[in-house]
Amino acid sequence: MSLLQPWYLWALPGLVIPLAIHLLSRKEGRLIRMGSLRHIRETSSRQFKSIRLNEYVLLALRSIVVILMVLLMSGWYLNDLKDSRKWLILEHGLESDSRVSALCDSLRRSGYEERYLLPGFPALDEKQEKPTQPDYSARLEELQREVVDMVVVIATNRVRGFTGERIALSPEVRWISLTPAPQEFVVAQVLTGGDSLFVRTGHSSDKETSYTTKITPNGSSVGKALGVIRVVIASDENFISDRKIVLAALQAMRKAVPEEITIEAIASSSPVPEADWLIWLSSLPPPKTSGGLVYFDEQSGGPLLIDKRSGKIALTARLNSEVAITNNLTLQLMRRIVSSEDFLEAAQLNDVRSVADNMAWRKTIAGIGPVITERGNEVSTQYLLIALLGFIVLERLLSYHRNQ
Amino acid sequence: MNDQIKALLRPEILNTVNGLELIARIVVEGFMSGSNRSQSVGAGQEFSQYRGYEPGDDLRQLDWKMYARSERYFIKQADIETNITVKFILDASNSMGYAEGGINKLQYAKIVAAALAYLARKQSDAFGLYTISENKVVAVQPRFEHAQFMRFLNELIKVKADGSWNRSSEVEHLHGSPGKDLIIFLTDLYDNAGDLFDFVSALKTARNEVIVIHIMGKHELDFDFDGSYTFEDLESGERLKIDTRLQQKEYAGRVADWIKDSRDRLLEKHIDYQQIRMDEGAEKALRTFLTVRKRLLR
Repeated sequence: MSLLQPWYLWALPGLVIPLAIHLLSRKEGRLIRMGSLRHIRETSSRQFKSIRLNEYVLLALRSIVVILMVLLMSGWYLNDLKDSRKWLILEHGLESDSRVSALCDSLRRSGYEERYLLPGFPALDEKQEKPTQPDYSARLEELQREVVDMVVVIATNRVRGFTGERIALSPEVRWISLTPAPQEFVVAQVLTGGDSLFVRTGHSSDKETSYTTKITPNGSSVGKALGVIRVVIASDENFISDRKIVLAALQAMRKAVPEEITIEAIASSSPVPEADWLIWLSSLPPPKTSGGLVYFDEQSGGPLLIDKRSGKIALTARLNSEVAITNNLTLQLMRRIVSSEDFLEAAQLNDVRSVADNMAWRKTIAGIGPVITERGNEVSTQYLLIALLGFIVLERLLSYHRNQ
Repeated sequence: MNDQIKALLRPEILNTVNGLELIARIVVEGFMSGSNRSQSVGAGQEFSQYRGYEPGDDLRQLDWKMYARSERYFIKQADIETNITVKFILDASNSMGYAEGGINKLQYAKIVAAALAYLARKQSDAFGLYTISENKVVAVQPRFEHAQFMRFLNELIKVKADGSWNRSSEVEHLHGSPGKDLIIFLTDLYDNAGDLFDFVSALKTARNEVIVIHIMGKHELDFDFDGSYTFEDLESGERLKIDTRLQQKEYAGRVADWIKDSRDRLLEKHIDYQQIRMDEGAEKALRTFLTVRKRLLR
């Protein structure tokens, strides 16, 4: 229960009006002067009690009408079921953060419900299996459909949580951003060559995320063994320089990833051996392969590599060092040849770079009313109007019936 | 009461001599239209005698037919018919201040009196006015003169309702006049301990006729106010708070009984009684007046 414009409550002294009407009209009914009262008998006082009661009822009705009008003017609204709903929404992982525990305690004492910043805003006591990447924009939109009076959100403002257009915070939402704790995490831990351990570690703070790679002799045999990626480059005489470029890219790739990449260069006229990837550098049509295929298909403009159906990739230009560098040939090839989904997920999850508050939200435009309470307000305005009209009609009926 | 008269019933018209005369004339002409013209021919109808013409006589009064027969100038003379004297007695006590439909009983009584006086003038009767309130008795002595009607109206518009009935001896000189009088008493009959009845009874003699014109309001008769009201007695100031719906029937019955009783008592004394309602016209009063007058002339 709250008021949008409490200053209208100053109209409440208007209650004096019905009171004055009551006090003034109580004295006398309408006066009729008669020539003589000889034929009139006084009505017994019992019947007058009903008239007096009628007057009290009228006073009450009129007061109610005034109060309702004041409430209507001051924009009184009820929130549907509960008196007031206050939510404390925590980003997953912050519930045990020492920096917010004091704040959480005090909010809990003042009636805030604790919830997770997750789809559906589950309560804090529900177990969450695994941490996920927060999506702030989607959660805010979801929040605007809820009927809540006050919301305190504690989040770390991760860069990846903001998608789409920047939106404005509604006045009910207090957004507290915490600097995330710097993270150090292992992205990949892979056994290579049987005796050494490839460990890639990520370091992420609110400012930046970086990765370091260490290859150590395998002491503890943790990590998983990886298969071998076999790549065959088939080329003819016209594509010698192209082959060099591709070879260089593959060599670089080999150093960067833990997988073992075997490279076999053959002439396009010789039979093609079994391989995971075939890079076909020839103007002749490529042969059928079971694995992936990169083939030459010259086009002007567009990206260098175009993904076609069923794992086929078209190379759209002749390669030289300049083309390879400007188009990031190594990276493009690596993304396609080496599967990196496991690592990517770990890397994204632990990326704690954060966005400054003034960058995160659109500035609130003055005049935009509260978004969250709008629905509740509409409903109670409707009820108020109906009640007001009803009481006015009742008052009119009664006072007409009274005939004074 | 027709619309033409209703439109005139406004204080600024009622309170002027001309206005009151206008209303009286409209009331009477409306009532008399279609009746025998000879009644309105006026004075000098009844032949009395011829006398010889003398220089200075009005030539209009010469009888030219007589001249044709006798070649002598004769003046035709007639008796002036001032056989009866009409005395209007107006009850100007406070209870006459009861108002209904925009005018009160006293104003209504003035209209009726003015109309009757207008009629009386047409009948060449002498007429006078006595208004009686608690503190004052105003009298316009009956005369047959041209200016009498104006004098009459002039006094009439000055009358104000005041106090209750006059209990002094001032009114006693109205009693027992020996002439052939027609006394018209306009009242609401609200008396105290029968003082009004005593007064009216004393007016009646063997030779004269007395008409009591009882003015009542429609709501006063039916009590159809429909609701709770405070009623105030105009004379005593006493107040009662009443739910009228509860006792409308009883009240109407009591008033009917009272009227019947009053009427019977008056008729017993050979006093004519005519009740007129304020929302009706004055025709009933005019008719009664003419009937009683005829009876008086016999």
